[in-house]
Amino acid sequence: MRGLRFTGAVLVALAVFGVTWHGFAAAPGAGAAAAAPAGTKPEVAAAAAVRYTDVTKAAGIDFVHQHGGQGRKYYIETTAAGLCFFDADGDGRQDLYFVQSGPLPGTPRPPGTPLARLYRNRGDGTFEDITVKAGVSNRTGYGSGCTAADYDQDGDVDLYVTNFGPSVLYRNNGDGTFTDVTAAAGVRNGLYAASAAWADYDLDGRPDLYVANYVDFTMNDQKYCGNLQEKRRSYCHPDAYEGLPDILYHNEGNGKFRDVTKTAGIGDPNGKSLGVVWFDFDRDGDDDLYVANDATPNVLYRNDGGTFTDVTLVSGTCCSEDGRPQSGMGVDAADADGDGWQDLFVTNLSNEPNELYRNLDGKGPFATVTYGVGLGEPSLLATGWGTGLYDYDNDGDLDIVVSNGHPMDDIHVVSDLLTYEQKPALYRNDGRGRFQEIGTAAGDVFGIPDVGRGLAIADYDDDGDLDIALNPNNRPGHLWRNDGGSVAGHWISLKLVGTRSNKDALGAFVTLTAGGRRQVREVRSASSYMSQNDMRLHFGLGAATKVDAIEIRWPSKTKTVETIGAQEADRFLVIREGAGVVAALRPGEAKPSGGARR
Amino acid sequence: MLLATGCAGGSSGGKEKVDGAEALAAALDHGEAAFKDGEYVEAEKAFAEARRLQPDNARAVVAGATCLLKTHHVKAAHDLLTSYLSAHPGDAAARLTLARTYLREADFDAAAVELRKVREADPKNLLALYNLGFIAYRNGQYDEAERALKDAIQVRPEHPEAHYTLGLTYLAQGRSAEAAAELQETARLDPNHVGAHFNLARAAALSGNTALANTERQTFASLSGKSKAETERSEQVKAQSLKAVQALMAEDFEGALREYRALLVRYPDHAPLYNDIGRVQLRLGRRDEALVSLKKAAELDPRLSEPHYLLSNLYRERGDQASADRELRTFATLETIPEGKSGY
Repeated sequence: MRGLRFTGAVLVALAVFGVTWHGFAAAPGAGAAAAAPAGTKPEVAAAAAVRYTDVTKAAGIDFVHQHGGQGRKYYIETTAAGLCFFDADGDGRQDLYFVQSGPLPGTPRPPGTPLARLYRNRGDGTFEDITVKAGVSNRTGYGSGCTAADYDQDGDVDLYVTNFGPSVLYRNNGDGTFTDVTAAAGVRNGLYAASAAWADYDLDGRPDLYVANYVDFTMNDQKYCGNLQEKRRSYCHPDAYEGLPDILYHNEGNGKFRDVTKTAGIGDPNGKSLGVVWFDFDRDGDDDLYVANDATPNVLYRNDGGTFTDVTLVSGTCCSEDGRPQSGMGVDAADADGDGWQDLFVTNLSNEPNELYRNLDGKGPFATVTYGVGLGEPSLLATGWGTGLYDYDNDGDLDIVVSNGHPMDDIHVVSDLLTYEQKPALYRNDGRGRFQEIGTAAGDVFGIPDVGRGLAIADYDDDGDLDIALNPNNRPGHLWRNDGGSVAGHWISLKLVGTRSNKDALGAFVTLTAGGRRQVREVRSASSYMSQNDMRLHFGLGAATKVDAIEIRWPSKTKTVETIGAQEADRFLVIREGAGVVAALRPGEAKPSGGARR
Repeated sequence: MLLATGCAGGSSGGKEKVDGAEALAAALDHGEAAFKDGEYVEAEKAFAEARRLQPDNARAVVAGATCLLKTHHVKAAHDLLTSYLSAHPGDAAARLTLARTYLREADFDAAAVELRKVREADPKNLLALYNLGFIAYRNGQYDEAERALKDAIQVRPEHPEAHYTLGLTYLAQGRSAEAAAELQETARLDPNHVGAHFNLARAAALSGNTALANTERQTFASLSGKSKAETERSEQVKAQSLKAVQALMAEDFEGALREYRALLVRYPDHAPLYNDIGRVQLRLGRRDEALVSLKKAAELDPRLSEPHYLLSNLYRERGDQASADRELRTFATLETIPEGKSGY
């Protein structure tokens, strides 16, 4: 190449750029959803034995999400919906609840109108629709998300469904049916709710409920967004609306809840909340709270024994590494780098990376390590929603899955780079805390663009590896079976049952030692985006054929630590607080009656 | 004859050339004027015309590509630049713009390749040095980032972004004291640099300087949002307007209006409240009252876009087309999606 010549255009360029234009990659621009070609690097090849297969149809799942839009582009059409794995009928298997949204509020709902669906896991890889019998169709609601826990401590799992408008609490009757107890419980909310999550924040043995509210859009407040000259109406940016305060409901123990938002010290009246996760970031035995906000700063609340302190600024988890608020959608918390402290992963809009905030030592500061660990560049063009930190290949470290899809169905008109439908992403952890997007090396499903939203993870087929379910916006739902994970590495799954603590053991913190490696997990309800994973704790063990020790800090006021001795790998353990292991099952072995909950 | 013809032809051709040169100059001038006004679509049209007149015109290519980036036509910018560079591989400005395009496409490695070519030809090119440092930082190549950023600072010691990114590079390596020094230098050069204060707070906290961390957090908070008083008031209004929102969701418009009016007694100069009231009045068919409310909202906060859109409709209904067009233009200006606005 001959020497570069500088023309007058340099002056133009300098005038245009100023003297720096990395900002077009930082705040705005940049992104290449696809990473290096999959299958070309050794670590990808190593993981190639584990693949996800779309088994939706074969499993009997025929759910189709509908946003109900007819072209008026109501804002609510963009955000939903979530889904929840939980054991609805107490048989120990993970059932699956898909949240439905449409038709739009105010639209007639004749018989046959699409409703939320509860699919019962038959245990043979297939599901049956038990929605009508169960009574959880959320018939009048425009659904957003869901979260499940045994709020009344009667030994079965109850379900809370968030809506645009009044949300619904379904109490599990213990016989496979549910009763709407919203009014009596006092958890109607009534605003534009997004995610919600249960946690026993005050360690009184009863799960409390946090509801994340989004923006003050109402059906009577349809604003014009788009291009007037071209007469093109688009979905609005969240800047068009004001945020709403979230609500923390304290479980009073008599079937009723009390709004303790203010007295607990949780108040962000301007937050546009979408994602929420409870996690004990400082390992002091009580659950802290992180809220992902859309276009307003995310918030981290430290639990100081039942009341909360906003430690967002100290933690540095509000925003991008440049201190700018991003468009937080989904969130998960787990120990991504294996140092024993739970980190935060937040999905964001296109042109913003999905952020990984590394928990340095639990004392407060987090470091934004997104780009340095390989998660920035490949996520820039995508809009991430549902997500999970989990060990898909059972190698003992946590990988990351993200569902993607832009909120604007006409984004291709605005940008020649961004698309409405986007491919989901799986980022494999190389064991040293660096991630690589492996694309279709993990299955063809990762090569199919979709309008991703809710995502939930569970070992639904109880074979020792983690499967994925998704609820895309205005599209069919999916169930992706993990094939090969339980062969690629050993594993162990823990179901914790509280006795002094809440029955679901929400907030229990587990340190497991195997093969010279320590791993930590925490039992929680919802995370991701409007969704909830299997509450059992799944550990990949790699080559280790046994677990050396399991240390459980139970979520009660005494914060009792219980240590379990050596266990064989490749087992589903049920551990009851104070009683140790009460069941150890191999895949395929019959589960104890009632899921060993009572 | 031949000479004459030649002269005539030459003369004629010369005139065409003169006309062509004038047209080219006019197109470029128009493009640059439109660019300065932020009219990027218009500017690109002018630069496209300039390229039609002279396909290899470097100004028309580079400025046109920049306009395309501004209007989110990243692939179009990419194609324009690669085509031009295949014939003019030595054009540094075009190559720098192509590197920028690769960054927009999230292809950091490709951007670095282009930047290295520029650096090879001009080892002191500030843009190339700085952005190579930035990319190396983003890729976790901290040694390379440090080298390139120090080179950039040597070329221009008062470059705030080079100091800032060097500070981030140190911070990522746990070199808190060095990070703090670079971030303090950034803040000295650009006191309103949000990221510098944000990260200086982090660096100070990590090195145990609690006092500095607290000061910087406060500075960050004040820079990154509204004033404390504004924020507090906005939060108060928000908290108290929940009943109105609930009334709206229940289609109780009279109830919503009552709630908003009650708030107005306490917050008489809060523009969004007037906008909310105007919207409700429209729902109730009280268009004269809505006009007054929306005009008040626009007057109190000229940055609020929605009152202008609603006013435009009201003026059109009244046959005041000039006012309707004016309000619509204002709305369109306020609603224009700037390059890099979150998500676009």
